Amino acid sequence: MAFFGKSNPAVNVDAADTATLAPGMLIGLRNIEKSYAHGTSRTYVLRRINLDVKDGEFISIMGPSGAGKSTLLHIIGMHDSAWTGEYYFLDQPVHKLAPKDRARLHKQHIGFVFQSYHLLDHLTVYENLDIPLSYRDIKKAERESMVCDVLDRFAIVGKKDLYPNQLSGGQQQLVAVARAVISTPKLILADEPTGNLHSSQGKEIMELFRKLNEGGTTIIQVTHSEVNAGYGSRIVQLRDGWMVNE
Amino acid sequence: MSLLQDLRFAVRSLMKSPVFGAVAVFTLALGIGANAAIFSVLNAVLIKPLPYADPGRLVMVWQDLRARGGPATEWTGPSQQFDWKAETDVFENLASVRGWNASLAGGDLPESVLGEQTTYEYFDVLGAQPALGRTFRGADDVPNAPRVAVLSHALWTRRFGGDPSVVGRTTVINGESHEIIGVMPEGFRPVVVTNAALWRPQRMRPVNPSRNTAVNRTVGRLRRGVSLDAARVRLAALAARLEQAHPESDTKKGINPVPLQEQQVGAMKPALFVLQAAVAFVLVIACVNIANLLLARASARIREIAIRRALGAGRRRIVSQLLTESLVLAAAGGGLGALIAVWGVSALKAVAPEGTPRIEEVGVDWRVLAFAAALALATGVIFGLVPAMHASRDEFAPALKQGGRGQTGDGGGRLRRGLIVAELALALVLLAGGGLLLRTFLALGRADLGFNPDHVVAGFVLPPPAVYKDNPHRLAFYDALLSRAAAIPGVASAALSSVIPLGGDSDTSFDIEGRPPATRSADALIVWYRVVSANYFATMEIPLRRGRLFADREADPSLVINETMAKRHWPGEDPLGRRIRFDRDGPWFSIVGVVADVQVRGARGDAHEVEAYMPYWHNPEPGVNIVLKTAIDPAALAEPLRRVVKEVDPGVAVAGVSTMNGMIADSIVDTRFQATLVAAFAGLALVLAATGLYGVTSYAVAQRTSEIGIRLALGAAEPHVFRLVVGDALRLATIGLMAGLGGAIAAGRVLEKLLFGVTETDPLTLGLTSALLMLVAFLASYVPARRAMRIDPMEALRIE
Repeated sequence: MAFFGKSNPAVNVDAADTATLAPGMLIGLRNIEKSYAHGTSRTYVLRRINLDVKDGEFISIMGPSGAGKSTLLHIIGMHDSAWTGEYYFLDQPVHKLAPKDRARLHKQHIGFVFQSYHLLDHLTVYENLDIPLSYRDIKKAERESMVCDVLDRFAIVGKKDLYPNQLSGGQQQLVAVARAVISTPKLILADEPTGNLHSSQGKEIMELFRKLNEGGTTIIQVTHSEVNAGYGSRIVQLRDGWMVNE
Repeated sequence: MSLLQDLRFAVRSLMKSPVFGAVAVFTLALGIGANAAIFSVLNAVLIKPLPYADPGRLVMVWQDLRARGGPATEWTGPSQQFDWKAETDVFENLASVRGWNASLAGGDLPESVLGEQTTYEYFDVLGAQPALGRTFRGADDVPNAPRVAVLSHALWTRRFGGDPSVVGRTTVINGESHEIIGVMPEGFRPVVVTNAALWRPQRMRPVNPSRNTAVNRTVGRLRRGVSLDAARVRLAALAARLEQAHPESDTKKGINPVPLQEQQVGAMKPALFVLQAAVAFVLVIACVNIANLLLARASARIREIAIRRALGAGRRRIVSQLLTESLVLAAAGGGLGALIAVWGVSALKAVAPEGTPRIEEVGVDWRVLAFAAALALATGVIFGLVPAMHASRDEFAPALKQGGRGQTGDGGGRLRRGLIVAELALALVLLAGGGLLLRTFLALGRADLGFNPDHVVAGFVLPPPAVYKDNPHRLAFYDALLSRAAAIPGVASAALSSVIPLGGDSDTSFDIEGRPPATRSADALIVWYRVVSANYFATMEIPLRRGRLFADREADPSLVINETMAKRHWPGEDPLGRRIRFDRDGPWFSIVGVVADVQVRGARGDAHEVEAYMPYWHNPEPGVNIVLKTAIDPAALAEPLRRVVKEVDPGVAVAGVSTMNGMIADSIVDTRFQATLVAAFAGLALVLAATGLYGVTSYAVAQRTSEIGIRLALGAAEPHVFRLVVGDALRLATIGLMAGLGGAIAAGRVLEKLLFGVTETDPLTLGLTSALLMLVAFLASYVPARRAMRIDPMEALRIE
C-alpha cells in the first residue's frame, strides 16, 4: 500500500482544482462528454457524466450494448484522453495533466481486468504477473517476492510455469485479476470480467472482487449481469451515453 | 481452364493491392536486372566465343621456363616463330606479334598511336579478312622489303576520312614511308595491343635467327583435329628435340600452348565470378523480401483461404493459385528486370576500366534474356512456393472460428523472422566483401612504391629508328630534349629513363667479373635494366642506400643497382666497386651505388626483382620516357611537353603522357571497378534487407497491436514499447550479424586473391560493417516502433 494517499509531487495542481473533490472521494467526474465528428454532424458516446466515487466503493456500470459503459471505464482508466469535462482522481485534475503524468498516475493506482483476460500468450503465468511490476521500475528481487506472494494468495503457485493456453478460462481470468492487483492499485477497473466464463467460474471471480473490496480496493466493473451487479454497493445505469439513474 | 482462372484471379488479386504488387515487382526487377547486367558481362567475356573464325583452335604459344625457375609464359623470339611454325602436324599456321609505338607525321603535331608489328601470317592465323585492299604476304615480311602498313577501321575513318582510295597511298610513320595496303573491318580485334590502330610486318631474318631474344608473343592456329592435349604432347617432343639441337640456348625450355580465350580473359574470371556471386546475393535477398511480403499477405488472407478450403478447394488447388500469383509477379519483375539490365549494361560499359577485355562486346543478347527469364521463373517458384505451402496448411478451422484474427499459429512469423535473419546475414556478407575490396583499393592507392609519384608527369618518345640510326644521333636528340624539357616553366627537374614504374620493362643477361660466365642460357644471370639520366633518382625521389649516384656525363661505365640485386648477388659483401657486363664484347660497368627497391610493376607486382640503372649516355636506348617533376599541377605540363618534343624534332610524337599518380590510379582501376560494384550491390542488399526488416517489424507491430495495447493498459510507458519493438528487430539483426560474420569470413577467403593490404578477417572492416548493419536495423525498426508507441490501448483492446 505504498502509494496510498500520496500525491505526486511532479504534478502541478492549482488550489481551485483540488477544492472540487469532496473529502473521502477517490474519483470525481464533472460534465464528461465524448463524441465523434462525422462531417458536420457529431455523434455523442457519453453526455454530461457527473459521478463521484468514494474511496473503497464497489460500483457496477450497467446498460445496453453501445450505451458507453466501456468508454466510460477507459476514460476512468486514463486510456482515453479524447474527451471534455473535468476528471479528478485523488485530488489530481486528470483533465489538466500532461500525458506523461496521466500515465504515471494510472500506473501507480489503477489495475485493469478485461472480459477476454488479455494475458500475453507467449509469456508464462509468472511472467504475465511480472509484467506490470517491470513497468514500475521495481527491482528484480522485490518483484520476485511480490509475484510469489500473489501466486500464493491466489493459490496458483502450481501454474506459474504454464502458458495461458494451458489454463481454463476461469484460471486465466484468475491470473488476470492477480495481475491487476499485483501492484496494489487503489482502483480496479473490470470490463465484463465474467463475460467469457461459465457461472461457477464467474462466481469465483466475483467473490474474489468482493474480498479485494473488503480489503479496501475500490472496484468499478462493467457488467450485464444483475447477479454480478449485486456484489457492488452501487449501480450506475447508462443509456445512449447518458447516466439515467444511480 | 483452371490455369486461366488462376491467372485471372492472380491479376485481379494483385490489382487490388497495387502497392504490394509494385513493391514486389520493382524489388524483383532490381534483383533480376542487376543479375542479368552482370551476366551480360560474364556472357560477353567468358562464354561468347572470340570474334575470330573457328576461335576454339587459336592458342597463344609461350616459352615455358618453369624448369629454369622462370615463368610459364615467357615471350618468344625469331627462332621460336620459325621452329614452331615448321611443326606442321600441330599448327595450321603461326604468327608472332609485338607492340609498336608509331608516330604518324602530318598535322599540327605528329600523332602517336599504338600498333602491332607482326609476321605476315598474323591475319591468316586469325582468319581475318580486310575490309579494303589486302593483308600481308610473305614477300612483305623479309628484310629490306618495301614498308607496307594495314590500317584499323578507326584510324582509317578518323585520320583518312574513310577514303577508300587510301589503299596504295604512302604515309610517313616513324620517319619512314609506308604504303597503305589495306584497311581492317570495324570490330576486328587485335591479339596483343587491343586498341592497335595499324600493323606492319616485322621483316625478320629467317636465316640463323636469334635464339635468346624474347620480344614477341606468338599466336597459333591448331591444325583441325588436333586437341590441346595432343598439341602439348607433340610440342613437348619438339622442345626435347630443340634442346638436343641447341643445348646452349634451349636447355630446360618447354613450349606452353594456352587457349586464346583463356589467355585474354582468364585473369578476369575471379573478379567476374565474385561480382556474379555478389549480385546473386542481391537477388536472393530480393526473393526473401518478396517471400516475406507474400507470407504476410497470405497471413492476412488466411480467412479467405480457409473459406476456400472449407468450400472444397484441395491443397494443391490453393498452392497452384498462390503460386500463379507469384509467377505473375515474377514475369512482371523479369520483364522490368530485362529493361533494367539494358540500362545497367550501358552503365557498366561506361564505368568499366579502359582496356577491359571484350567490354565492347557486352550487350543484352538472347543468352542474357534467357538468363533473365530463367531467373524470373526460378525465383517465382522459389519465393512463391514457401508462402503458398504455408498458407495452405491443413489446419484451417481455427481461422474460420476466430474470424481470421488471433491465434492461428504465429501467422508465419517464425518463418518470416528466419528469412529476415538470412537476409541480414547475406547483406552483411556483401557489405564485408565490399568493405574489404574498398580497403584494398585504398591500400593500393596509398601503397609505397619506392618513389614519390606526386607532381610527376611522364611521356614516351621514340625517335624514328630510320632517322636516329646510331647512338650519337639518339644521344643528341635526348640531350636536346632533356635540356629543353628542364627549361619548361614549372618544371623542377627533368629526367630520362627507358623504364618507368607501371610502364613496361626489359631484361637482359649479364656476367659478374671474377665469376665463371654461364655457358647455357638456362644458367644466365638476368637483370631488369633501365638507362637513365643522372637526375632520374632525384626526380623520382628514389633513395640512395649506399655509395653514390651518377655524376653527369661521367666517362667511366658506371652502374647503380637496387638493394635486391645487391643482396641476391653479393650477400654479406659490399657490391660497390664490383663490375658486371651485359655483353661479352662490351665494357665492364662498375657498381657505384645502391638505391632502394622500386615496385615497378605496381603494388600488386611480383616481389622485388634484380634491377640495374646505367647512364643513358653509355647506351641510349631507341626510346625513352621523359619524366618531369613539377612545381605546379603536373597535368598542365602535358601540352608544353608535346611542344618541346616537336621543337626538338617535328617528326617525333610523345606517347602516353600521363601523371605518375594517374598511372597508379589506372593500374588499380579494375580494383576500383570491382570495389565500386560490390559496394553498390552491398548497398542495394542493405536497402533491401532494411526494407524487409521494416516490413517484418511493421507487420509484427500490426499483429501485436492488442498485445501492445494490453501492455500499455498494464502501465507500460512509451519507452517500454519502443524498446520492445526495436529490441525485437535488433535481436533479429544480432542473429543475422552472427551468421553473417561467419559468412563474411568465408567470403573473405574466396576474395583473398583480390585483396591487398588487408586481411580477409580485417577487424576494422568487419566491425564497421557490423555497426552499419545494426544502425540500419535500428533505423528500419524506428518507424514501426514509433507507430507502436502511438497505439491507443482502448482501440487496441476494442479490436479484440
